[in-house]
Amino acid sequence: MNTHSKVRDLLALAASGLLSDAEEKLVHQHLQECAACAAELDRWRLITGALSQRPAPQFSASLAQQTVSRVKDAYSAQSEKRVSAFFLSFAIGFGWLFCLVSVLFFAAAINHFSFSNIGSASIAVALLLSTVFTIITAGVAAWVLMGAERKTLYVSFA
Amino acid sequence: MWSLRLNVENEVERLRKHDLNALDSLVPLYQHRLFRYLLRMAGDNSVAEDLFQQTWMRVIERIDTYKEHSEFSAWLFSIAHNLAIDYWRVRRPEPLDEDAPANEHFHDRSVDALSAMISSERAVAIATIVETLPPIYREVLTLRFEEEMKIHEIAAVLQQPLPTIKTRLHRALNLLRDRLAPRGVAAQ
Repeated sequence: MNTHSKVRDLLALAASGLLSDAEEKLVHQHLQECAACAAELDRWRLITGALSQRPAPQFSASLAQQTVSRVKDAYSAQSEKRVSAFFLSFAIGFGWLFCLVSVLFFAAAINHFSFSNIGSASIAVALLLSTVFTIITAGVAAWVLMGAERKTLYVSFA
Repeated sequence: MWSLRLNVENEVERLRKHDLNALDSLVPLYQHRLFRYLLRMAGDNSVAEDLFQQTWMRVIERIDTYKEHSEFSAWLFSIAHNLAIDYWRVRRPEPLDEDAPANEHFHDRSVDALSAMISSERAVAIATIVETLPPIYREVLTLRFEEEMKIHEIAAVLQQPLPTIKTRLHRALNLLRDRLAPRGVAAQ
């Protein structure tokens, strides 16, 4: 590609102010001796100048206020949900412990309230029941929370 | 300019500490620029307003990922860019750059008609034609000529390397010029 073609290819970017120093120098030197390229650069500058002067769009005067209110409301709701999730986690943990103790106590009762006689099978059953209880509870809680999340997303897109 | 920048930094710092009252000054400060960019991308006022609100929602969600001392406006626009691209992909299944790259060689045949057209009401006419360009070209033209961003700022917003930005802008301008030419003939 000769210098003329190369410069020609750079003129759109030259009018956009996006040339590197080396490209700028090359274009500048070429324009000193090529009237056609100089005229072409002027045409590009008319276009880029017009692009900078496009009519400003109109928008609702209350857009900023509405946006701030919506963001604050959504964030408050999220904070409440985080607090709910914390207490839910606490409740699940407490439930697991309560279930474990209850089953162990039940096993001890069967053995005439002698905790020392609780066999390893009873402990295993207690752990199993407690874990199953926890998984079911956590699953229900997750389903409820995710449902709320889906609803939030839907509202934000509507 | 310095006081404005300082003010923005202060407000962003408040936001990083989850003080939502910082939005009271940040949202109005950027509303014209951000809304204009989103409108250019979406082409519809109500969609642009919705994207505007979603942008600020996401700002709050991701404020912890904002790097201190980086340009807040570039970060803000990159969030808006991602939302606008998501919108185009979900709502309008056509490719973002549906048009083949414009002929990158100069079209001497259109010179006179183009000159005549751009000399009269060119800003309005060009605005109309820009709206017909594919989103990725509209976007780069808006960021450069309306937002007056430097090339590295545009690269930060679009998360693309500098050569890609240059190529995209070059193609956008050539495509715009291709579409201006026949309308220039009609306008004479």
